[in-house]
Amino acid sequence: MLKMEADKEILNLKPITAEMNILSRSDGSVIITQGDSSCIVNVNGPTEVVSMANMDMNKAYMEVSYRPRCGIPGVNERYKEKIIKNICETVILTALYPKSQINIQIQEMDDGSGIFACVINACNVALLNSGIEMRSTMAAVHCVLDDKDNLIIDPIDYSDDTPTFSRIQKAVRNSKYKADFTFVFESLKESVISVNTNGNFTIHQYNNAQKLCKEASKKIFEFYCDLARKYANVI
Amino acid sequence: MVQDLLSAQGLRMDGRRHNELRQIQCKLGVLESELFTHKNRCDGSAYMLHGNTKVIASISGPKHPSKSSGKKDESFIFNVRVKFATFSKNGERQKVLKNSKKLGEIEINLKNIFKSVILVEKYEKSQLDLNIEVLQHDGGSEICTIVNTATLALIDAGICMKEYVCACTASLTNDGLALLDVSHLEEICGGPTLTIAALPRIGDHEQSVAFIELSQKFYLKDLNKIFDCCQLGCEKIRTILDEAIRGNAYEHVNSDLTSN
Amino acid sequence: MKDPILSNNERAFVEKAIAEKLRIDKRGLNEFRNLAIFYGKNYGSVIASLGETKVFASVSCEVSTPKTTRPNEGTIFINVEMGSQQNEPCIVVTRILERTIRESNCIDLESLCIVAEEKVWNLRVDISILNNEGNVIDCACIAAVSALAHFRRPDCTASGDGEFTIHKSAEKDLIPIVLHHYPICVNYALFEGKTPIADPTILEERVTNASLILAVNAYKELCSIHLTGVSLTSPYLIQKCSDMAAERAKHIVEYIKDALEQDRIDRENGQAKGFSQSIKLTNIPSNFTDTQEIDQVMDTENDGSGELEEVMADESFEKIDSDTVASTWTKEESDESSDSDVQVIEESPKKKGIINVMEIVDTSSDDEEKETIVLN
Repeated sequence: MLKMEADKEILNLKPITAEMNILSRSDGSVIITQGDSSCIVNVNGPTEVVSMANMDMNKAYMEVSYRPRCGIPGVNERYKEKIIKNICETVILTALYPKSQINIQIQEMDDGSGIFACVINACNVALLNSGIEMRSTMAAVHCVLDDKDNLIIDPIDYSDDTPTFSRIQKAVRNSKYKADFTFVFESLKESVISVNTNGNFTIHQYNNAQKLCKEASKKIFEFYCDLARKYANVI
Repeated sequence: MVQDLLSAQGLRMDGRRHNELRQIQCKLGVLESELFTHKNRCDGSAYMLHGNTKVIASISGPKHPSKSSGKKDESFIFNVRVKFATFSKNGERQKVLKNSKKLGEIEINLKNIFKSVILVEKYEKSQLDLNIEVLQHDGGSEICTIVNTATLALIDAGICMKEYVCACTASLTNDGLALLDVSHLEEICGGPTLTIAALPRIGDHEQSVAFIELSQKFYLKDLNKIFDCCQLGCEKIRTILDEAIRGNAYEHVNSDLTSN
Repeated sequence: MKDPILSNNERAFVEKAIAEKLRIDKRGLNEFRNLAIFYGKNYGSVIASLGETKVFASVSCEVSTPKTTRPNEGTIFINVEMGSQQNEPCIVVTRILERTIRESNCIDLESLCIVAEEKVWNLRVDISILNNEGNVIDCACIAAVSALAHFRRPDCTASGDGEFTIHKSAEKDLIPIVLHHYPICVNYALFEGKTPIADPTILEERVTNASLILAVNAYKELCSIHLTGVSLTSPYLIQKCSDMAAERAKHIVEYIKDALEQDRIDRENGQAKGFSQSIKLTNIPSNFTDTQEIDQVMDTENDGSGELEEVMADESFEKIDSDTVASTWTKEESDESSDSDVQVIEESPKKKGIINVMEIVDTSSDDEEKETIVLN
């Protein structure tokens, strides 16, 4: 079983690098690399609502578009868009922007393991960068359960045998793991705002994974603070 | 290149010489136009047969811009719609290309070509629609016939333009000889194809070019040769267009005289 | 994002400046913005940036049946995404790239054949315009060509009777696509149909609306010409531009080849950094000053947070004990009430040219903290 407090090794996250303001045409943009995954997120808003059907008198309308590394966006991407939209609506103070729209565009660049967690972290940084008011920040942590029932935080997969194929042939989950989890935490109460799981696991394993990820998420929040503060210093 | 485009006798696959155009026939006012009722009819039309390509173009306008059309900030609205008939290609029945990229490209190009030639300032806050129907087409360079037909239709509709727009293609043989007016067969045999749409002359000015398109590669030094060839073709096409327009005008005048 | 309205004054100003051979961003009429190419961890993903214009391209491939007209050739498909922008420029860019890359036969499509008339490789190039600051076509073309040159496909062996096996990367090395030449698009905006401007910015593009795009390779072969927009041009100009374009293309091809070579060496040494290296280097203009100098500037500005060291873009990492970092944070959080916990409001206006980069590396048990700040 895992020893969370004693064994520090287990909490290792992949190195994160980020750069804000990389796109001059957007209100907030960031490029993030997290180990073997990387993505660009750009946030525009609040702007006019494009279609009147989406106009909400009480809060902002969120639009998320997710572009995969290659191929046309399919059901997988729609699903991710939906999740990201839900999470962002939780953390953004949408009520402050009635009758307006906030656009988030995500471009996946290197789809390594934990790309989804990387994308959510990138969304958070891009939102910070855009100046849209948020209730709290959020951090996503990816974690897998390998076939020996060990939980591994944020694994690095170099063993991808088909890096070149288009999406159709690409498996959703790496088959060498029993299950994978992506937890999203918010910073205020450190509560879970979204969980995305795959594969089978026991409830005990789930609880452990959550505890582990929560611990790891602190590092990501630290990273945000660091980034924001450094950025503010430069200005 | 699979095959040489020019035989030892200096003849091409269809028996033309290197600087000879394919057969061109054209007619203005082929569709009924009602100048006074303006009931969805066209205000000018033209038909052209160029080699194996047959095109009908019709113009409606200038008229009040319809509500749905285009951007509001544009003072002159010019809409182009190109359609390929289902039976247009080599007798095979094929799916009608709709909103395809190739079609979209032709429409954008036509829009740009004619916007640079029509005296736009005369038609502020009005709309002009150009509809093109390709009845039969022979290979990729249909844009050239479409441009020539559209020019005739615009003149038939009485739209003010700076000059005739004439479009022409040219290719290059292995020996570096420029070939005028490429047919489909020659095009698929390889060899680069240059398409230009040019205004043969405006006042004292030299020829000016409104549109250029080139596919496949060739050496930079050959550009001049092939370009000159194209320009020559444009001049030739201009005379043909001019004849057709003048002929049409005489016809009208004569018929008016006899009816009176 | 919608483009703001272009005012008449702005238009007149740009036109007048060009007439006096001046440009708003201080460039000469035939001067290009700085080009940068970054390769990702995956084969065939590239970010190219030309000034502030940024394009991401990625290549993928799959096995499928060939077209009946070309039974022994693979195919290539090019897709361009321009975000929320309207359809028209997207079509134009796609068609020009198709003409440049597909119709100039720069890819050896026959080498993509596995079993004639049955199985071939289909290549797909996805191009995503991340940021449009003008001259998208040049940037997209460079991205597409360098992505194709970078791409590796799995090896395949056909065994006579229509059977074939696709080897995984562990079994057999991935193999590159055969490119005969690298066609490079060079875009000239035409002012009044006679003054060509190299590498136009978006403002210049919107003012003139006419451009001449020439695709040339390093051997001075023209691969495509495209004259778009509302313009009347003299034929003489095209000749002039094509000579300039040939010169430019030669430089770019060299640049792409150098970048490829660098990436190959990095990969051989197992140091492929992917896009994280772009983070340090993007936006660095040619007049990029010494990092040391910048660092000092940063230090003076950074009085408040002396605990954290500024580290160079070089490999010199500053190691800080994890405990120290933690304590640093707690201290600061108590000082600054407006921290992320309550409500994050990013008041700071965006200041261009300042990149803030930081990196937390905790692959080992103790935290390594690294930060680079680059001013330009």
